[in-house]
Amino acid sequence: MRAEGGLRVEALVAGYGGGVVIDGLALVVAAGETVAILGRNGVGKTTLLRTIMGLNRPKAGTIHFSGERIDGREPFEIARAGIGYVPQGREIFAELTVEENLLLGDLKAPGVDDIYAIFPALAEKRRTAGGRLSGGQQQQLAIGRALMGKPKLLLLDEPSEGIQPSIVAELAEILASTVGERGMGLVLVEQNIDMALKLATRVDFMDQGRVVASDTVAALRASPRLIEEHMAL
Amino acid sequence: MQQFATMILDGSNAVLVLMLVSLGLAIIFGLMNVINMAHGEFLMLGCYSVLELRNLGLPFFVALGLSPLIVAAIGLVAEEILIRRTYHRLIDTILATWGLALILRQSMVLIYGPGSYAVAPPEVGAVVLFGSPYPVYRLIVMAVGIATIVATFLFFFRTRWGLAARAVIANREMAACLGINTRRLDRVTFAFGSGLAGLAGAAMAPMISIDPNAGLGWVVPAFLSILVGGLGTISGPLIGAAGVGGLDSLTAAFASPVWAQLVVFTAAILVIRLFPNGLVSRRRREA
Repeated sequence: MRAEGGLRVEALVAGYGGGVVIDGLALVVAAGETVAILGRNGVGKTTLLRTIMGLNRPKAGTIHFSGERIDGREPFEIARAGIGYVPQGREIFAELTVEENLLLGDLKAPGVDDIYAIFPALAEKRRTAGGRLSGGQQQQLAIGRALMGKPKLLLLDEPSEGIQPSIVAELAEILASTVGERGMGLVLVEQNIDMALKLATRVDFMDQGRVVASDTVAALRASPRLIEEHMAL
Repeated sequence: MQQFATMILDGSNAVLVLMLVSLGLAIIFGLMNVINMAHGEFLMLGCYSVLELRNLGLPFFVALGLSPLIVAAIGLVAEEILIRRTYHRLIDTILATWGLALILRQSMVLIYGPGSYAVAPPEVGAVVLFGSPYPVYRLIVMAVGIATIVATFLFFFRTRWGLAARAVIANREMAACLGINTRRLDRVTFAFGSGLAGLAGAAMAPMISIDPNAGLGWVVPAFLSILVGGLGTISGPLIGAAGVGGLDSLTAAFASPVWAQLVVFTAAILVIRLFPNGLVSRRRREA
């Protein structure tokens, strides 16, 4: 079995209602490995993360995390097993303060200073309602909130969406160092290729509900042909 | 003037009890998306609980203290065997809790018969307020009501459990993804809401006639309070209850209970027409 923090998805089938979005997908993320998942809109990237998180029940297949089977478990159990989730659209608690949002990541935490050290901008806004932050700050808050739970694996769904390019670069920088320091695994769904290449060591390409190609970031930097093939509209 | 002061005091009494009932109903709806048609029956169970405990020889205030716990325990059982099976199906919650209401009412008919009972009020006497004597027990009820409401607020806004509950109200799915045990929170919430209704019933027990239909008269005003006050906040139902309960008791005192109904419903319709989200409206979560 995989080490603590490893993810293994096998023959996964999932979707909404009668429709199948994920169709026989396999994905392995070793403990501490950082993987970016690229693909066009609608190939099932977000559905994959939601299914790992337990928000979608798989129709078939299995998901193992740290050697234990997690498909069919409740989202709160999956979170407690050590998976942090930053959803598309961030899902900040708009009316709660920054500090309250962070505390929700770990209700037993004595404080949130660790996160303020990573994102100093949040410390200045600790009493501000989450909904009043800029898009970039909300993204920091959503990531900080997930980090509060000290996850072994972080699922990030399009963190660059709706954020100014200069701030995306800064966010990528902070994330890269934090993920490295904490030695946690990462599954990053992105449209922003620069961010994906900055954060991941491996890229999996998805199409029609499954992983159709995979390569290391080093190889992709040398020859970006695969990227063009899978990302072109 | 003296008569007016008594009217205001009685009105405040009714408002505070309605606040307890509405608060319980609103918390259950806000957290669990369950429209609890059996809420009035939990109030009724609070009355019977006081009755039974008094018959066992317990002092009145012990009975008053224990009854909310007993009703909360019944709520916990109802949640486990019935309510949790209806989650995510709003319409089904209405049907299921309506059925639960029928079962609870008929159970009381089977156990105690259809007739009515009375509980003697505790002998705490009367004090002269604004020139006329006023029963101390009614003042105690008000104090208990205020203390409970304040405690509920402190719980929701000053504790980590309360923070978790507010997160679930705002965005249940995301709260679960952060590791918040929504299942346990559901159980506690339903028991707590039922307990609030039980407390209201227990406190009212010496002032009303206790029969299996004792809860019926409270459900409609409580739902009106929530609609008028607004959903999704803790303060909305309280403001709604102040409006609905206050208008109702004052109109009933100055005119008649029939006029009171007419005035309350007309006012409620106007408020809901003018403020469709309630007086304390909550900004919708940004998508």
